[in-house]
Amino acid sequence: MQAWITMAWYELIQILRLRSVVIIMLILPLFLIFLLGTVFDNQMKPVQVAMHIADRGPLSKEIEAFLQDERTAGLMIVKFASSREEVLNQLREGSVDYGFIVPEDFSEKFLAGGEAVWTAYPGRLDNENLMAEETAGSFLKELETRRAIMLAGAGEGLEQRTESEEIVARISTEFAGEGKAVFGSVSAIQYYAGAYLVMFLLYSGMPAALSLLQEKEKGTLARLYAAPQPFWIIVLGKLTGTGIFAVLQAGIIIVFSWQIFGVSWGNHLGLLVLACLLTSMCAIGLSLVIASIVGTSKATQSIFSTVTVLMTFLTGGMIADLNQNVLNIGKFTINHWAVMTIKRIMEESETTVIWQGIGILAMITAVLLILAFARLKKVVSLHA
Amino acid sequence: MHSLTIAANILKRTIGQPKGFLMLVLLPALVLSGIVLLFGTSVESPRVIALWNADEGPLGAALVSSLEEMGGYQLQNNLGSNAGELRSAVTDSRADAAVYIPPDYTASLLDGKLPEVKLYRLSEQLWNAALEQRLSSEAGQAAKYARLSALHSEEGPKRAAMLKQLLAETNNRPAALSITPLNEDGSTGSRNVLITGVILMFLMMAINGAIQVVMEDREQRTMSRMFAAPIRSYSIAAGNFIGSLLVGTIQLLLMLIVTEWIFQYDYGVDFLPHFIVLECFLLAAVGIATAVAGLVSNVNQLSQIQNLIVTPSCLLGGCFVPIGMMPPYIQKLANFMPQKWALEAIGKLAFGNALRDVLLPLGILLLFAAVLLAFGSVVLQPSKKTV
Repeated sequence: MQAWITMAWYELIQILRLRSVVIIMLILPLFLIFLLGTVFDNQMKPVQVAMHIADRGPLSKEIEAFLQDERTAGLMIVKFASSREEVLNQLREGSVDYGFIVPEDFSEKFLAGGEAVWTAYPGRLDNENLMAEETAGSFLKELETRRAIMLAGAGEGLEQRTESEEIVARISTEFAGEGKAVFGSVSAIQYYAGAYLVMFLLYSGMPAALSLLQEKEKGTLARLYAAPQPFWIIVLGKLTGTGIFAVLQAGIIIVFSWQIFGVSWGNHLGLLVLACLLTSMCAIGLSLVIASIVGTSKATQSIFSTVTVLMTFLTGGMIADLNQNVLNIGKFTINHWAVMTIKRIMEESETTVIWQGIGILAMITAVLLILAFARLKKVVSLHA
Repeated sequence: MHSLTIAANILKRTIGQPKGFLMLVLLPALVLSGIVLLFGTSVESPRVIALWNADEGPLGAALVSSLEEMGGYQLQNNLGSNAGELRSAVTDSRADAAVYIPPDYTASLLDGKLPEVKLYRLSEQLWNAALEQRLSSEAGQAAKYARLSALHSEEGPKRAAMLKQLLAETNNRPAALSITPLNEDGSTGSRNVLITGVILMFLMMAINGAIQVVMEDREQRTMSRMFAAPIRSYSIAAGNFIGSLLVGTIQLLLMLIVTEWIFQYDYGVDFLPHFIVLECFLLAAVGIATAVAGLVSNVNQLSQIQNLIVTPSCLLGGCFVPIGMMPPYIQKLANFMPQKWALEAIGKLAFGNALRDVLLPLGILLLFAAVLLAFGSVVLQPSKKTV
């Protein structure tokens, strides 16, 4: 018992001595959560558009009035350019998202009752293009409507009556699912808080395997075997030390993000701690399995951290709006189940639903730990 | 010359061995190719809009045909036939948004009422704001046409004839946009942003592997011996850089060749300019890796720290999220990330610019490389502290 605690304690001290790593492990997740949480909570940004109005006809004033309208400005911010070249240059350079040219003869052609067009130059971004096209399109539609009414209603004096009545047709829009979009049922900052808590919990499981491998590489493993304690107690102690650091780290991330960023972690503190513990044990198991395959501490580090980044990426921890195919692949990762369980705790789902998530996580943990146990000999044998 | 010998040795020790070649060249190239293909083939799947038109009159039909004209969406009318079903199609994410045209839409407009077309969405985003814009301008037109028709006559058939005439009028002589892509092939290169971002991230991770050999030299004090040899220290530094850069270049070339020539993936950028930009980024990435390696006193933690630096810098540099979406102060911070400039250069190239138009971002990348390499070379000397 005492040997176990002593080993855990020294392991913890060793981890904490690497100050730069500890600082990164604590500050980086908080920074990432903050950054992504604020980026995605921002409102939709209007599209930047460059426009050259060559038309000096009667409609040009109306175009300008439309562009300066408050409603338009919320959707599309216009920079006026003095020539077609200037529009194209700004577009190529990327300082605007879209370009419009109103040709010289636009008013003339339109008022003569013919087909009249604006030349439109799409930019690089599909959504921005769509928005710019629709905003300009709505203005043209308005012109078109008025002209059709003029032509059809002329002679009966109906056009004035139609125009004089203020007809404002609205469509009703509803935010199904409370406006939380790609993040499912949680807010942006909750989503990323969960994703990065899991990613860094996985990271902090790595020292478990590293410390065993380094004992071997430095030749101190033999001394541990020589100690008058069952060897498995020593290994367990090392793993416990890593686990304690992971719990400390999770605690700091959770408390800090809850107090400072106002991330709501739900009401089931006990279950949250359990989920974190299971994730951390998964990480320890995975690191041992990788270590048993590759054999050196350097290779373990680079493979383990690459796997962690990859798993986070595949479960949408970096790009939330990933394609479904990619997310389906993500279902085969630890992150998927850990993040899902934490999300369920955050949104305060039924306890049974949370337990389901925890159950799956526990199974993954069990499989990884059994594998790790079976392969442990490879990691700690003196003559491998 | 001495530098080249050192570089050749680095190559021999990393990708010269079967295991190293497998782990450092083949595996990253295959993983990266897999990701590129996965994204490249699936990223353009259109957004699904659940649509139900309960109206039997011409205005409902006109609205539907106007929605059909819009690009980028896929309309589906089998996801629900009333407002509640459509709404749940959106909440269950079977559809990205839903549009419901109420029954007797045309008739109630003709009666002077203002029935509402419903749009269901999860949150306000550009793509659905564009849809909203289209719906509301169509609805505005419908209301005005209906009003005119109602004023025109009290009788149903005459009203309908008037409506028909108005709608036909609009279709015949439209005021419209004539959309002219800047590129001859009409591509806008938008899908490249994400893929390029992922490529940059993996390049950085791959370079980290190469720089570890240099670190090994320092750790095992072989570097001290190199410094004892009768060559200038800058030759040693240059040799290490060239070696790391070569490893990265081979990875990059293999990845580009596999995706472009074997899997026929079209990046929207010509091979050579694409390669040049990525190579410049590679230089900057080697710079970052050496600078970080120089700062870390405990070599054992190096790769962990390197990976922890790759993720946030890619994020800030706009690999995952367009920089335009970030708060202004973060956008300023993004200027200090080489990823931003590489993305900008490739974005511009994909948009029809020639290589000479992207000299500024390329220059900035080279500047990054120069500063960071200088920094790294000062720090990356046989250190007394390393044990």
